[in-house]
Amino acid sequence: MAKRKNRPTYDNPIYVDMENKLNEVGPGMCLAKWTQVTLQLQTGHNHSCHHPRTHKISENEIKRNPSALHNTQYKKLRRREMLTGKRPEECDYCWGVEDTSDRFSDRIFKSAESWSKPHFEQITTSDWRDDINPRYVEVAFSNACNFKCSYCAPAFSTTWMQEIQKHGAYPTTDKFNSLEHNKAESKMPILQKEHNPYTEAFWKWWPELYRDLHTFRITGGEPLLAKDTWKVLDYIIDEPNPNKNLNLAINSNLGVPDELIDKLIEKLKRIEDEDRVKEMVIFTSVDTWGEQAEYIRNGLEFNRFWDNMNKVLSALDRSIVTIMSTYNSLSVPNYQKLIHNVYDLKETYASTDRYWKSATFLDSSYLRFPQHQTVQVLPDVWNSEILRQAQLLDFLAVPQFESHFIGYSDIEIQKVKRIYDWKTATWEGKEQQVRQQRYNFGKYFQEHDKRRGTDFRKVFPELADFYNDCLEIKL
Amino acid sequence: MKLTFKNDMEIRDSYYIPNQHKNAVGLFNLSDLVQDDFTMLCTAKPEWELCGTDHWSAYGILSINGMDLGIYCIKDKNGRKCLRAEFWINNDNPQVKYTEISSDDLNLDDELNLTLIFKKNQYIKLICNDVEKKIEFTEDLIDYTTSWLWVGAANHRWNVDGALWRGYKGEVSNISIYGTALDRQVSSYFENRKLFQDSKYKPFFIMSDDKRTPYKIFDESGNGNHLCLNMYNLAERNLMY
Repeated sequence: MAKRKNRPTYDNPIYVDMENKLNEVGPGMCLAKWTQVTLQLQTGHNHSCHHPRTHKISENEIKRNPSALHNTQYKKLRRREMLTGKRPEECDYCWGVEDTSDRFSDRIFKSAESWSKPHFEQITTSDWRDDINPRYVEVAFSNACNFKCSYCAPAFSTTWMQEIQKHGAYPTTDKFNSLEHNKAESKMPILQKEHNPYTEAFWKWWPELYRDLHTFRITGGEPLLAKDTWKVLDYIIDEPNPNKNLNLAINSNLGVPDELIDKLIEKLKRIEDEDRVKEMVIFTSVDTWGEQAEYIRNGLEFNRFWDNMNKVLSALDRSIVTIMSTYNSLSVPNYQKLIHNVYDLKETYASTDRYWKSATFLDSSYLRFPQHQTVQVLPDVWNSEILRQAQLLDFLAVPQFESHFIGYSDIEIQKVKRIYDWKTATWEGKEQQVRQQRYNFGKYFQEHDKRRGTDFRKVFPELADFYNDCLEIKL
Repeated sequence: MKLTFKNDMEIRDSYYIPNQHKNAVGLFNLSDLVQDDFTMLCTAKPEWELCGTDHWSAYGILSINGMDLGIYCIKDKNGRKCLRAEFWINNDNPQVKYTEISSDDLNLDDELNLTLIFKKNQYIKLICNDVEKKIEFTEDLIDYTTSWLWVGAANHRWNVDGALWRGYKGEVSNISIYGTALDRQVSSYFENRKLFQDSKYKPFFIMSDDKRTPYKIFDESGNGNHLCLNMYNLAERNLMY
């Protein structure tokens, strides 16, 4: 039995208790292996928690048992390891945290979530071979997407796939977005028009899965371009006995044709008005403001996107819109404009009728891959700008996270502060890594401008000198 | 931007900057400022009618709590209005020190340009318009690293000492605080505050003229020390921290 040492007395007792309970089962025990799944149906991959790599779902298994979309033989073996006192190797992210710090790892947080914790007894007394329905499900039905965001990949975007098939990989040292990697890992996406055995299995499993769901989130690709997204919404609308405990979330780039946005609003409005779910969140994405945001997310028409944000928030007066911002090197010069304008949305659409306490959230997560576009490539003179953005969020903060206050929460502030901390962190070999990634930055955006008819220097005058310097690097 | 404080028996209003930032977004914390030279400046127009004659009923204009450090309004036993720069020395055996400018020196009902200059182990100067008073000392200040800075009150913190609140009635504007002992530059400060954003003066807080939310006033110094409106919940706990 593993026990953490030097656990401070001020640690949250919920997590201390969960850690002790998990460790009584084994030092590698984590409920997320049972309760959570991300299904990438376009490639037939899944993982339970975002830290381990995805693994391939067996077509033979799902023919016999559609719940094997989640309960794969591979995963059951990992569950056996957890139940018999072992630490699955694929979960090394958490072992790294636990072995090198006194912090709680994500296995504690995930196991303590409301979609995990109530199932502790059922899971820990089960046989490792047993099937279980997950409570937290993310699903991508298709890689169909009208955007080709600079940091995205063919497995998640058909427009990226078309570009790579036409022009090949980018001329970076790691051959960015080469299809060889997808082929080697059996991650070549199945086209929407083709038969997809994983989607077929999903729909066989769905009526049973739906009953048990705590959270269901549709990702992509662009979900509004996937016919299965509409099938899910229609199912919830038509279901005579809906799962009213469901937290429904849908990702969208809000850059699809108007009729699809209107269709989404119409269906979600019906679900909202008829109380068919517990809460509804629309996740969208933008990484900075205006023309620079359009450059980062190729296909984005910024003004139309912002109009659609307003349209959704106006029409759906209980739903929440969360902006997932993939903060990268190109976000830095103008992110403060996004911060100001999201604050305006919070002010405009604040309402105690909404499912959560704020109409919109700015969730800033830093880009880690591809490395050539992370904030790490930027010169240190930009560090203070990132900190100023955290300070601006703090200026626009609520005094306390209560519905009658309008502004940013501590989490929204901390996520940008974390980016500053990461940017200013040092480690052995960092200088050499950064040099190589600056080389790749130059190569990538030079090719990007050539292929896509864009002009980096014109759109990012603040970074033009830096870009020129990158192009001068010789490895 | 002028802040108007109505402090009376019904309304208690004040702003503050905590000693450390809860989201760690600051570059220069108050706990560091009070360990070396510093300067506090503001323009004030006190309304004196509620101001008392002792420590318990003085007004705090700019005040670092604990054992008071800052600029206060107080009346002396003859009823004369006084501006006082007060501080405490010697941690083991704390002793109060202060210097005053009284209504005999100038009309304290006017709008006043106030400056407190702290030179470590040397002196504190209080400057009000053209009048300057100075007190010298060689000892260390008591430990103010856990104290907060209050604007419009001597101490609104709920659990520090017995002398709570002592709210200021009147107006305050042009607040700035620097991590250096400014001196002859002070006279030009009130004419051109922008000059004083220069990093050589080590700005700690520069009050924005126009940027504010319902809860905060923006710090133009770049340190993120935004001035927070003091708010209490029903349990008398400060909401902001």
